[in-house]
Amino acid sequence: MTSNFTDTAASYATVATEALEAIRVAAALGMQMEAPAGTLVYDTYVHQKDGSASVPLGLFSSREAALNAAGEWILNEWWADEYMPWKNRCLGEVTSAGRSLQRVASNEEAHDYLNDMELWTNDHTPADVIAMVDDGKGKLRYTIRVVTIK
Amino acid sequence: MAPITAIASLDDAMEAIRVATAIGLTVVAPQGTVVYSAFLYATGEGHNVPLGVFSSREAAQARVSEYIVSEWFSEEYMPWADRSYGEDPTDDPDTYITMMEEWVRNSTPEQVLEICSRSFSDVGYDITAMKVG
Repeated sequence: MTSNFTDTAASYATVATEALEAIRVAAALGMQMEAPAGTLVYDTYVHQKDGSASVPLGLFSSREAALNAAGEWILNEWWADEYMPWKNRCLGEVTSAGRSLQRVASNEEAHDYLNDMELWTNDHTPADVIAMVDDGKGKLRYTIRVVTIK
Repeated sequence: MAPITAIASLDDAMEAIRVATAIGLTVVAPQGTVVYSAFLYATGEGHNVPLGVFSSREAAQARVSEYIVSEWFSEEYMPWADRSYGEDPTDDPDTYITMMEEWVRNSTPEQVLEICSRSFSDVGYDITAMKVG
């Protein structure tokens, strides 16, 4: 990889782009590459609307990667943790447990409701979930902070 | 900083990015690279202070050390020294603080961390290596 150097920011940017690609490839090959000081990362959390129960999802190389991780976590992890155990607990004791299940009258209706939920999960993508969150739906939010590496 | 004209090695690549960020270009850390997240905590209080994300373990340790010396010492020890002044005429806070500042100045970050972790059990630190996703 080579490039001509002139004393302009554009030339620096071109060289930096080549440098980033070289580092990305080296890291992908398994080399232990440390991110240079001064570069940025996207620090990502999912949390309840009120800010409680924050879950750190890690540091990402782009906002898109961070959003995808947030959407994936909400779709796969949160539902798996929150709804599936709840589903297992509720089935068979419909009348005494569950927030939404309290609105249904029978085990059959409960099964239908939960099956619908599973179908919805299978039919949607992380991007769909992010769109819903951005519309204010659901009880989870995400935060993406841009952090400069020191 | 010497200008980089061609990326012939990974060292060149790191230097090129350092130059780019130093002149104000926005550069995002490549996926797969490693960073070091550091925080300080007060043992038993569930209180921690995030100190940021660093490009090397040494940089993270230096920040932890600096924080312990400049922030934690000033919050914990300087008010105590002020309170103590007058209660015990032999306990001169200026002398104490000067000695402490000299000790800090003459110690490496590693020594500060080692000595503090042995001497003051109510403060600890953690440095975690994280891969950028």
